[in-house]
Amino acid sequence: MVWLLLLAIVSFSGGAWEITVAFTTDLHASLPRFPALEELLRGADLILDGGDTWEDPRHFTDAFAAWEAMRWMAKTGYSAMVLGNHETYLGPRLLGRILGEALFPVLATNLRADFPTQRWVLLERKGVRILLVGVLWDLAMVWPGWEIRDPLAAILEVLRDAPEHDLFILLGHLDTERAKKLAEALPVKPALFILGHDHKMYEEPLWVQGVPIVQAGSFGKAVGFAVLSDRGLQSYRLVKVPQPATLPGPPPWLLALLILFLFGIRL
Amino acid sequence: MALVELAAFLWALGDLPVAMGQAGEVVLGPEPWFLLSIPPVQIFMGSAPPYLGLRWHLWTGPWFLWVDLPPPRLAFARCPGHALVALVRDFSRLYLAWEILGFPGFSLFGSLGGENALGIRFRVGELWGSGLIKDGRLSLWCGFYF
Repeated sequence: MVWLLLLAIVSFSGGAWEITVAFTTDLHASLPRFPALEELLRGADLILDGGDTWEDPRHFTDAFAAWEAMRWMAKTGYSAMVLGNHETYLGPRLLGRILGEALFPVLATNLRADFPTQRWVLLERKGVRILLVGVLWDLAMVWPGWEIRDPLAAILEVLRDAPEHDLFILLGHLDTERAKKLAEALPVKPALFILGHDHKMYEEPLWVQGVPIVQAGSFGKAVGFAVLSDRGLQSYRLVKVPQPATLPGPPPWLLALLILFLFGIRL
Repeated sequence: MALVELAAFLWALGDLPVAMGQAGEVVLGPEPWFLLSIPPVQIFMGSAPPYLGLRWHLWTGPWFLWVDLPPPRLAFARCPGHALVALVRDFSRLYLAWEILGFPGFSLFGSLGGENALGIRFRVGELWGSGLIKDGRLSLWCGFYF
């Protein structure tokens, strides 16, 4: 009876807050699929993205798609995203311009470049101070003048510098194996590790030394939901999104230009 | 090698002064040249013909398109992964200029097709040094941004 009473007290005091996190990963500027995602994402306390959102060479996306994807994220109310390797393929000038106009924080904790990316962000929801940190690594284009630092060292620096917080969420755009090693090595464990890059759908979190690593597939096929409290991850679910819209291929003008360029053009 | 030909191989360098918020570049080597960036145009001034060159950047990502004058030349590029690749077309030739930037401190670059060459470039901050093999001959270059 005493034990039950203690358990009830601990449960009551430990469940003081709950934060619902909705997240997407590897959207790759899949503009036709965004409206279906929007309905699901709205209403969450935090909307996060695991990177590779603004560009996709397989569908010949262009600068317009990158701008549209960023504006859609702002309109939908994204709280933050981490830069992915495909964002770096936009080139320093276009990426710099998009970052300059992004209305939400873009995290790149381990990137040193003359960009308005952020090493960390502290947000408050329901009185809970939430520290967001985001790292990228695999296949990222390191343009001249940039430096991509070891993710672990960069996170440790942030954890030393960042203000007090109640909840620590890590965003990563990395291979799963690298993410697992990172989760193992972190002395301070995040309550949630949102991972992008592998395009995998995690029906259940991948647990690494108490860290739940989650991922929501690619091209807007799913949205992940995680409920966090001061006791950690309370629930997790992956909602698959119907795919009525097919993604467009290369625009005809681009194909025409390529054909002219390769075979016919005479300057 | 005409100055603008070298700039086609090193096309990322041509973009870089603008990307880094810098104004230009000085290149020393067999044909020293100087680059001034006035976005979206870059002006090349060299010690050999053509003494003056112009590069006009029409698209700046993720598709890159620029026009060089003289000689009239069009380049169409994309960055797939760690590499930059550019299809370059002039009056008589079509070639693929490429550069792999995935290494810390150095990159490999070259060209295949109508123009064949292979080079390596080392970087320390805003200084760089490069070796380029073309037509069986090695030429050495170095440069800096300002």
